Amino acid sequence: MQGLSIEEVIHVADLANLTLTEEEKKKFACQLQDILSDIDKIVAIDIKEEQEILIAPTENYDIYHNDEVEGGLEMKDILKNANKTSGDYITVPKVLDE
Amino acid sequence: MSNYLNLSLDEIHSKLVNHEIKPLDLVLEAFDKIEKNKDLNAFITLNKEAAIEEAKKLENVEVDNLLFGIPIAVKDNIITKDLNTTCASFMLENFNPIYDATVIEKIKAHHMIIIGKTNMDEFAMGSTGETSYFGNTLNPWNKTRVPGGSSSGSAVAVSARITPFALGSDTGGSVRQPSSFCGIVGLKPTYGRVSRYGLVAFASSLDQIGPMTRTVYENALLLEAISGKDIKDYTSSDKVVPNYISHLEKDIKSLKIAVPNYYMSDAINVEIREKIKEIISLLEKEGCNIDYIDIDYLEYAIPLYQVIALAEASSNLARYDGIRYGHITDSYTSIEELYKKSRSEGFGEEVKRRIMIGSYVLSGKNANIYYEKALKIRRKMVDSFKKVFETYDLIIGPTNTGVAYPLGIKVDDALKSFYDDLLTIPVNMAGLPALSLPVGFDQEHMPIGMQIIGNYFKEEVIYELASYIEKTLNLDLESGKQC
Repeated sequence: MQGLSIEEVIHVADLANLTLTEEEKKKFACQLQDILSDIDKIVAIDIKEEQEILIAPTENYDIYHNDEVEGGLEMKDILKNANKTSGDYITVPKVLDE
Repeated sequence: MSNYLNLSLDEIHSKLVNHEIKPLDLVLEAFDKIEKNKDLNAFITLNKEAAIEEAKKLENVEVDNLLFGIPIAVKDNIITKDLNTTCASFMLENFNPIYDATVIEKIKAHHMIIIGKTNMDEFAMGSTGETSYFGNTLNPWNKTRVPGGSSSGSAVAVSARITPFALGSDTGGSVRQPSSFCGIVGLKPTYGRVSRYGLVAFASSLDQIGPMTRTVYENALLLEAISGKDIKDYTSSDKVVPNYISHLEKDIKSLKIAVPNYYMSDAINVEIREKIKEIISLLEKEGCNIDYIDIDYLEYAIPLYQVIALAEASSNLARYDGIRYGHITDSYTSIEELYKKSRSEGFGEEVKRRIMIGSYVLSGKNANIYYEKALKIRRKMVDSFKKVFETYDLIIGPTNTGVAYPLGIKVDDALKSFYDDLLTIPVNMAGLPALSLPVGFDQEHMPIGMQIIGNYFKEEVIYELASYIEKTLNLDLESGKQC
């Protein structure tokens, strides 16, 4: 089966915040096409435009609770798994232009 | 080496009550068995020191319930305070959680002892255990075969009698399929029966934590222990948790059971169909009313799953950015490069493939073409199931299309892991409870599982039928004896 074009694979990887090796691009081009062809089966199903959707199999209802301050996490716990920290902060690269 | 962990739960319990044995004996035996079965690769992280310490502490605590002092294995996507939780991914190789999942709090409240975290498919994505960063888990019935997945190590720990109990999670069949492949009892509860707080999210509208055990009785006990409303998971239900074990010896004569024709089609291995037919005859003789029926939309379950599960996965896994926790790349010049390189290095191939598809079906117009359309069909499928349960108490059929197959045969087939779950995915789509029960073996002595699907929050009816079949068949399900 003809796969996705390499440009399409790069676009999809970009959407998922991934960069791929040349080898991965080729492999995924075919594999993603296999899955997308499968998925196309549902596009063909005839279903009414106004048909209700189901996001999760649960009865959703509003739950309220009193606006009271409860114990939270300790700062040292929050920072425990962070890769780069400085004092009480997590270090990240600069996000604003000079 | 002692062999207390091969005894029935009631026997172990009475030995603990009579002080013939201590929880420490059970814990040390479990670690001996892990060592002896090292080649199975069922565990990623062992909890040896803490487990021994806990067992010693329990010597001064009154034995107050049947699960007291019993070793349990936990799938490595259920977070455990101070005990690494990797999801079998390089991304979380060193992740050390700062709190316990609600199910962990509950098993600890019952004084169960966590032995370790079990191997699995990376982020629960896979059906063979082969996508784990930490290597394949082997099937104890035949070490050249897959154990199933994604709860591979949990199924193997119970099957090899390393621990009597394990916790798994099931998004499209990840408790039931490995349970079936390894000859154990595995339940996916009703969506909302068990809190998902602390279960690392894969597809939030499908995920459920479930008990994996040697017997139906033990399964019912563990389900009761972990069920209930949790304020930290708003999708958890406040419906009363029944005393499940009181339903085990009930008369099954009045049960009305449906067998979907879809579950007995040519796509299913003939030996498995024959085995299920034998069980159907057995139940008919006992007086159950059994009909073959059609259920609309079942045939679309896999594409629905590919859209809904992968869309949710792409959104859930967007959190792994290398900053607050998880793998971070060594060199980068911008935040965008940091995200992309960390994720590309941290995730394995199956995960990448799935989040790319998920991102695609949610992007721009595709959100309507694929995702919204899938949600409409999902509603129709649920309506079809509800209609069946207006007439019938249970639905039965095989758990899988085949038995456990050789390792490595389809690692490059992107569709394989989805089609392995052909018969289990519809249950997650609808949020129904379903159990896989061992009902026999194929000619090569690999276990065959039967699936029993119940109505919403009717796990007790599933257990009722399962315990009858289990008792009647009285199979020898201890793996590894033949070696």
